[in-house]
Amino acid sequence: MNYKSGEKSFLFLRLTLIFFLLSVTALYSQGRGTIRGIVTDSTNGEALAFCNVLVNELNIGASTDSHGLYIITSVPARSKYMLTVSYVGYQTKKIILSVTKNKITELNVALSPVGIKMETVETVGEKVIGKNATDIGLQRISMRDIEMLPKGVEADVFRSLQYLPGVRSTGDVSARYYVRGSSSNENLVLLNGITIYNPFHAFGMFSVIDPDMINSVEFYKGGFTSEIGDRLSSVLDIITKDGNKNTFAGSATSSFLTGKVLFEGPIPNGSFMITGRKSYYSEILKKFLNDKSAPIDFYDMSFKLNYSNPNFIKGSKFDITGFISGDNLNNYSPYTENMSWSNKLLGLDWFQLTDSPLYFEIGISWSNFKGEVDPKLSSAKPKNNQLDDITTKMDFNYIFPSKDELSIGTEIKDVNTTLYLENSLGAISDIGSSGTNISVYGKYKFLRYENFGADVGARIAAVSLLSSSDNPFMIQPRVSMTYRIFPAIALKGSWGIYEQELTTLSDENEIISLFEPWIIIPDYLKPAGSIQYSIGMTTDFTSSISLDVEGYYKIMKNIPTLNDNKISSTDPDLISATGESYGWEFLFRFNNNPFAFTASYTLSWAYKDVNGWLYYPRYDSHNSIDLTLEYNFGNDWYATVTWVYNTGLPFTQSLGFYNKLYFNDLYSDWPIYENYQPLQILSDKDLGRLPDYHRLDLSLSKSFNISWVRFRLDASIINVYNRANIFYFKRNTGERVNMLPFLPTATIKIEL
Amino acid sequence: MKKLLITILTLISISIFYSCSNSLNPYAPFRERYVLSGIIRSDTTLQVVTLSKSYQPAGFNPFADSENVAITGAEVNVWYNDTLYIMRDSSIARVDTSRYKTNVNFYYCNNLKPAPNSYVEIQALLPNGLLLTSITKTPDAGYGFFDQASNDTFDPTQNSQIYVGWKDLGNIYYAPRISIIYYQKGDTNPKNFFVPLSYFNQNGKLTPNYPQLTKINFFTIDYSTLNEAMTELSGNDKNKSDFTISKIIVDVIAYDENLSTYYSSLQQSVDGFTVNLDAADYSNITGGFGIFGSYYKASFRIDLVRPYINSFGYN
Repeated sequence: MNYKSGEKSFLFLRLTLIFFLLSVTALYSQGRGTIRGIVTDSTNGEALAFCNVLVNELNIGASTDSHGLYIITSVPARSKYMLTVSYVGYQTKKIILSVTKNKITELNVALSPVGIKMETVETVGEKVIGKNATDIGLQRISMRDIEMLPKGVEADVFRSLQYLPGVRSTGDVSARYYVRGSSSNENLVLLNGITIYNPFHAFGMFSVIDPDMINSVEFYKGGFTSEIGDRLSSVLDIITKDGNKNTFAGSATSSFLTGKVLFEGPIPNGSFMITGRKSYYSEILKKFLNDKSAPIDFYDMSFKLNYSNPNFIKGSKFDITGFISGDNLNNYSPYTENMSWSNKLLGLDWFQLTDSPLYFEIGISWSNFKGEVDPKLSSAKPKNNQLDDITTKMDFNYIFPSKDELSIGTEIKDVNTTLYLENSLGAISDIGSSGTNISVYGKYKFLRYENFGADVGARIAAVSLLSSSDNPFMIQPRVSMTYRIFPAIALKGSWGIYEQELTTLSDENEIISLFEPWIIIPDYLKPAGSIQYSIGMTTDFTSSISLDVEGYYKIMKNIPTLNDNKISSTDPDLISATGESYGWEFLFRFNNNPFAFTASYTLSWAYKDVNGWLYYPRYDSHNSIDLTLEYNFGNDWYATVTWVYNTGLPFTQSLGFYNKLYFNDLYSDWPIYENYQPLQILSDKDLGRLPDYHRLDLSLSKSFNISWVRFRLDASIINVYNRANIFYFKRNTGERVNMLPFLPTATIKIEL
Repeated sequence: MKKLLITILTLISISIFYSCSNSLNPYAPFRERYVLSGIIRSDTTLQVVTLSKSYQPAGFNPFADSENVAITGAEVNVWYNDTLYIMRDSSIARVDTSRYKTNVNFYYCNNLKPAPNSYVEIQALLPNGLLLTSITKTPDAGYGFFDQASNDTFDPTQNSQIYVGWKDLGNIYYAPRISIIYYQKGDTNPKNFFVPLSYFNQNGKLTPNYPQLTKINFFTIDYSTLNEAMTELSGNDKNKSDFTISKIIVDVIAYDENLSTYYSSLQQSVDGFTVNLDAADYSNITGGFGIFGSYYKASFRIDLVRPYINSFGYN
């Protein structure tokens, strides 16, 4: 069955390619010119994503993608055009160029940065270029956004997500995030297109992604289009820097927790970047762990090497990405367990521009996750999980003279998992499986109309990871649309069907956990699926004031959920659940030097149904407010104030206590008379609500130069007014455990 | 600038106003629940169970509630091999009076010693008319329990290690214990010296690793470990000839399935850091909470060859 499915998928791919090539020949001969190029930072040659490129005379343009690439098609041939290239924090550049009939005019542009001073912010053509962008659910996060937020010890891209409407966490301790009512294992994290399966350090307190290595971040809260698969909820797409193409450079940063270095520089026809981060002091983490000491020791290292030689293949760029992260909790005592988990990533990517408005990208990557609990002589339960994912991807994009875009691609994912673990009731899961998923996708972006844009596509899993899948040709249609009714107001909407074949065997009741073990969804369950609807409105009142409103409705089915009642090894590890979530998100931005103010509000509901029991998942908070105020004092002094408010998260109330019999060694004691300890009797799941959560954080930063060395000092205070936000009640003592107290932290960054 | 400072100060003031932690009642309406706890033993005719009720302390701290929660006056009946055993209500003085000051209440019978692989059923009719019931099947740890490949004699010239294996009874816990039985001059009572599975070096000192509850149905002890145990047996006593080594006795307690699952649930967490708020609380009591299980203890004898014993100076 699967073999035949694969044959069919290849046939589909071949037919699409033939259509594609015919289209190229036919349309390219129609006789207009194209402007194409890559926008980079003049100081280091890094690609600048999301720049605006505008042809002034025609009032048309494009924005750059993550490669810094822009393509403007169907430009009438003319000897003189003024091209304006702009980007936040960079000096706008105006360039005169000519466009020749049936030719591609290549124009690479290097923009000069002007620091991150807000008074220099200028983006030209925003209103023109983004007019019909089909980007509902998409948030672009700049490194400046991440750096300006108050730091809970370290700047962290995952923690910065939690300020976005629609994104939740369950506490200060965790960087784990929940998007629009879905569980965290439905979020996809991509590093240069490679999946990171466990992107967390230290029990989920921090992400493994060092912000210093990031070039651009795109975050889809839902409604993502058909080129992305195997997740139901969100996609975090992180592209790392290429490395300085002009000169060798480095930086060193130190915080209360880690030390890290970055080294980058040019190589013939390319550049490289190497980063490394290592924890050296974990005392501060006691604040996160309710004053419990843990021998936390983690590291992460990454490198990226790129090569682009027109004499080798014109228009090509090759990237090699490597990434390793590891956490080790090695306890000296033989009676205390050891724990470790790691990620390893390696990928090769070939990006190719052709002599037509066609470009393609081919990548092959390997992602490995390994986690282990070695109980040694302790009573901890053994746990061992490994996942290997080898993925090959091909994406072809063609831009028609009408500005419409056609994209097709295929993804072949070969996954192998092993898992051994023992649950709290002593039942053993010794499972693992392997499989191959072959998916093809195609989508057509209607961008020919000035005020209307649509992205219509579908993804087909021709071969499933699940050998028992009875519907291998599951078609996942996805549509996303934008209609600008007034120059300042755009209406947006999307609809799509999503499927996921990998899951974690994680316990949603665990608010602190080591790692989530990954497996292919067992054969006795169907792949998880969801149907998502979203509508929205983007309003740009002025160049400095905007308001985005989005509403969503999501239905989830076949959600693999841990079987809490697994007592024997033959009981299923997972059972199937359904879910539903809906809500409204509001995002207001005001940016007028020296102030920048962002306010977001989310009104949402999430439900989960397991075996007929309907409950609120632990991350369901109905109301959420995030306020961020930034102020530029000048002279490289910046201050940020954030205030976060969430209505209480669900918790399971107590029906009282009973005295539970405890025993260990039945040789030496006879526990029946007096060995009893209190244990809470729980009420129906998650019917109670914790008190509301709120927290005020402050941050102050200063950059300065001493000789040729640049320093950046950051000081933050978390929970300024020491709000006692409850985290949980201990089950056997009733003790209240609070989240982070008043916590001052500081970092220093030195750039050479 | 002034406006900014006013804004920030106003924001902080409002925040501080709200900063006091909200009061929270973690309790749902109380409804009394009942608990039966009992472990049927194979090594005695005395069988004991307890009955208690749930409680809701005034504050968050359950230890602050010191009212005796034991249930007295219930009818507790046990069936084994179609025979009814009636348990009697009794009490003894409490050893730990830090929380409860009253006697410990329990129910007992003194004439029941079930055989391996047999069913024992319990019914407790509470004074309020509610019935708690449960059943246990004693582990099949009788004759033929130990693996025939186990060493019944240890001769270092023939074996490099002691191996003892036993029947795999499924996903249950075993508690093995290894004792050297010896006599000391002038004392006719036998003494035990517990043998670890191994020794490990901790801060330059050899630390014994005694058997833990395990799901593995065998153990091995290296020659070097046994040597160290034999050396330690006499301690600092230089008169080695005062010690007479009799044999090694291996005891294995096999928990039944109920007790094994219950023991796992006692760990509350799968490791020292994971916090699971709603971890399943295992109980096999119909109509209430608690545990009714059984264990069976089996023993195996290993003889040590005389030259080996004598090599330590022992008789």
